[in-house]
Amino acid sequence: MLVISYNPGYQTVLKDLKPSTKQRFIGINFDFPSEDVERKILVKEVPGTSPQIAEQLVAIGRKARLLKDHGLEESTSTRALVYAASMIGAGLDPVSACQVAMVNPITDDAELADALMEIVQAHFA
Amino acid sequence: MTYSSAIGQSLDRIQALSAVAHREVEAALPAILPHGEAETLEWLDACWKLFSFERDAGKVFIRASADVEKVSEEVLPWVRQALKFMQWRASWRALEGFMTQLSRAYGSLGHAGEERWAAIGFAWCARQIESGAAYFSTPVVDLAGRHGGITAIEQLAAPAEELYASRKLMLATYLPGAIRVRNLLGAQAVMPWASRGADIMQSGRARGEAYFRLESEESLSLLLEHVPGYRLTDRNRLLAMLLDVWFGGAFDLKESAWSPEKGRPFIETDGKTLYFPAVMADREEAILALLHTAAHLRYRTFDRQAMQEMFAEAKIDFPASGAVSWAPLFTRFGDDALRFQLIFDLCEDLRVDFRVQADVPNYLRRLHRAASALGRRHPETQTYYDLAVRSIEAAMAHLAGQTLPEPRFAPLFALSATVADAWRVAGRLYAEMTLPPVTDLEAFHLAYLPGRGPNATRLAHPQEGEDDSQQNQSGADQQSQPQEQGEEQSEQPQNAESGDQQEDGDKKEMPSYGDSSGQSARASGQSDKDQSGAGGSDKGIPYPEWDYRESRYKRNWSWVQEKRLAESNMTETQRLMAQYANALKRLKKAIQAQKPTRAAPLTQQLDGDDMDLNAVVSFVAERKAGRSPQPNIYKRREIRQREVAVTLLADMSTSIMQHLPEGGGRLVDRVRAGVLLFAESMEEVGDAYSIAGFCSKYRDNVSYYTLKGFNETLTEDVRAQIGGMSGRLATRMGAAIRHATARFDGIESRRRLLLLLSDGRPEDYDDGGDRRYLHEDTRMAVKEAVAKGVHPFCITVDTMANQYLPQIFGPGHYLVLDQINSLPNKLPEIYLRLRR
Repeated sequence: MLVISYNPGYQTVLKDLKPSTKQRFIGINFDFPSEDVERKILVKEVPGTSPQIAEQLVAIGRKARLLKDHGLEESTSTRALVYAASMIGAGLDPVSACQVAMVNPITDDAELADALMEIVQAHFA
Repeated sequence: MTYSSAIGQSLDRIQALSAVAHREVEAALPAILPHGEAETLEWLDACWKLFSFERDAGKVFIRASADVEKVSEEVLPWVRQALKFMQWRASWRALEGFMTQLSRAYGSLGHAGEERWAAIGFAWCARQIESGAAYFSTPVVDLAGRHGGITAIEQLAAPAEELYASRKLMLATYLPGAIRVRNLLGAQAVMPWASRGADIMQSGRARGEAYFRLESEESLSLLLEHVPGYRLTDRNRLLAMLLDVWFGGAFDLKESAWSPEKGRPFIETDGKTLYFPAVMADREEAILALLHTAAHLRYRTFDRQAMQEMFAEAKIDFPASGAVSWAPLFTRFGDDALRFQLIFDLCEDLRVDFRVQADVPNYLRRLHRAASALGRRHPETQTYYDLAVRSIEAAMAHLAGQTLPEPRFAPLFALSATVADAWRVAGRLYAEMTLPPVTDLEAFHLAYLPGRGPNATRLAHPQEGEDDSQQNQSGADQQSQPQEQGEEQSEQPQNAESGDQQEDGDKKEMPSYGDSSGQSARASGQSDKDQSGAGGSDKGIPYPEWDYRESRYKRNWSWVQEKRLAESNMTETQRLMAQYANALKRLKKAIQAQKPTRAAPLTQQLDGDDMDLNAVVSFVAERKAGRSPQPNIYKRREIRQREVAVTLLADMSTSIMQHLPEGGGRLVDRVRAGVLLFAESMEEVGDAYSIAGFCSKYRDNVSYYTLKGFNETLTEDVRAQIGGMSGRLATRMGAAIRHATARFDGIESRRRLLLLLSDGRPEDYDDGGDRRYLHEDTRMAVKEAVAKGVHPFCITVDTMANQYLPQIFGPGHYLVLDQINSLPNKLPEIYLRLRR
């Protein structure tokens, strides 16, 4: 069996497969995991993460991904959520943890960061 | 009444002058008499003098005397002041103002203050009598401001004295605006504002006067710049992002005409658009206001059915169409209109805020915290404010499943509650509670919690049923049309290229629409032809256009004319090059770092395109020595094929001439800089590229400006043309894409990219307001391009673009740059990223 993976979209406009090639495969689309699965990932990757923190982080991630069309080159990954969870697990307060793991690494655009922090703060108010 | 003979004589003299004057004097006389005969005579003398000097001046002097005496308890000082007006011509208006204000001047400034007040006015009367009149006719309370005494008046007058001395600025011009500026921003703001105005005055009187009346844009914007608080004007993008995050979807955001004197700033909505003021008190209030007001739209305060229900209960006719005024709902309450409006808003705001909590975590807590922290409240409406705070507490208690401190609000927490329910609850509250009456507008404004505001400030546009127009538009966009396209193929031979074909005899195989291979055109390997003046006629080259209404192409519908840009501007180019010199240096460095090192020719190969001399020598030597060596005697150079060819196609419609909302010039400046940086970077990258712009006016007039063809070099002339780019006319994007796609023919490259730089949706003068028509056509043009092996990618600065670009270019094939200032740097970066 031949399995290929490729990312359609932004980074590969020029590398898209020809339709005739694509038709010779069966296709499975991958997106971000569902909220439920993403929460499980967090708890599994960072043992000790409380269900509440997992839920909040996942909710923040969902909202943050909505900003993709506003100039974010990459949206918030599950990986970033895991990092935030482990920072929180190590004792950092949740807002700072999200800032260093989920906001600062993906943008240096002050307004975007401001909007992302609004999301974080709303959840951890 | 009997008078001394001297007084009697004076009276007779006045009688002889005018019976009216005599009557007025007799009425005022009892107030003056107690000050003794000498003072009374002086006063009578002044009456006669002023009356004969100017009838109206005399009348107003005599009439005001009794009042002034009552407050000042003296006569001579102000009589003598009044007489001074006789030294100036046409001074009666000034005197009239003086006499009218005199008692208030004594009352609020004291005797010493009155003297200073008068002295300032006299100085102006001497300079220009209109200025004197303007000064004295201005109520003393206005001059002094709410809390100031004579010091405030002196502070106000000082800049005028200075600007009169240096630039002959008249007080009459300055005063009304200066008072408003001082009241809004404090005394220190007056001087910078006025000296700017004096400059403008010198360049044009009408413009200057408009400035001082605070009517001109420049005056207002200067003021708004100095209003303290959180500036929303510069944060349009943040607002849009937050709305997108919390309510998902684009809202129409506009700046309102708010100016500081309109009182407390609010974000408002009319059922369609959110209007935000330039400045709000602080960030917290601004964000709460944004969320709250958007929630009115989301949770349908303006729902047609609910509004109808409410109007029916109030027994007021509800118009079948058009905008609706809220006013009749409140005017039913007569003097209690403001009071009821507050109660109604409180209920409706509570309903909506309760719903927001589900979208925005901890929203109610945040609102409650801000409401409790807010210091400024008004005694007249404190009760309302406190009631609103309690209603938030009720909402939070409801969420926590506790018993409500205010059970009357309970109906508002039902998810099915509408504005009509808020109306009913408000009606009950109004009937049951004894809330104090509200008359003062400022008090009314301060009754609102942070983020909230009067909901009825604008005519309402009722929101129609939930499942209406917006949905079927995007729904229809998704319709798949490949079969229809296939059918078109036979009907539509390649007229797109007919212009080319007419020009040069040698025909090549043209890919037809729907040809998915996209390979056929590449084979020919022809050079880039200069097409200026090409095409069979002046009409240019015809292209088909897709009509979604009939699901078919219209043949030879849009006509593209190839042109050269007439304008060029080397100075602008040089200025931009200097401005972006550092950015360019960084870009070039980045490009060099990315470039793969050129592969050395492979030696000792079994096959190849040349002999490897060393290998040949050793091969022959080995053979001679009787051995049997491997015949790897060739060398091979990697086949050099251009990897990528790209066309940068810039939208050159009128809209690029707009000034940037954040200031710092026009959009076109960024476009020029972006194109220039792109060109310079491309020289470094080495890929084949061309640069073009387009605009349109009607289907038969699409202009396509080639700034640089694929095989041209980047000359000074090309650079100057980039500096001369400007906006004109409209955006028929589909035709431009088709033409740009056709221009790739004969360009040898493995991958072809069409980078579209745009600032708005496709539209043209003849689209009849049907946006969808050109959207659909552009979508088809993109599909055609892809079929021909050209990959369109759209970069836009239109923040509303995610409403239509996904349908046109497909998700991931566009990028919204909502920071226009980053455009110049981003443009080359995006290309480098795409070609990876």
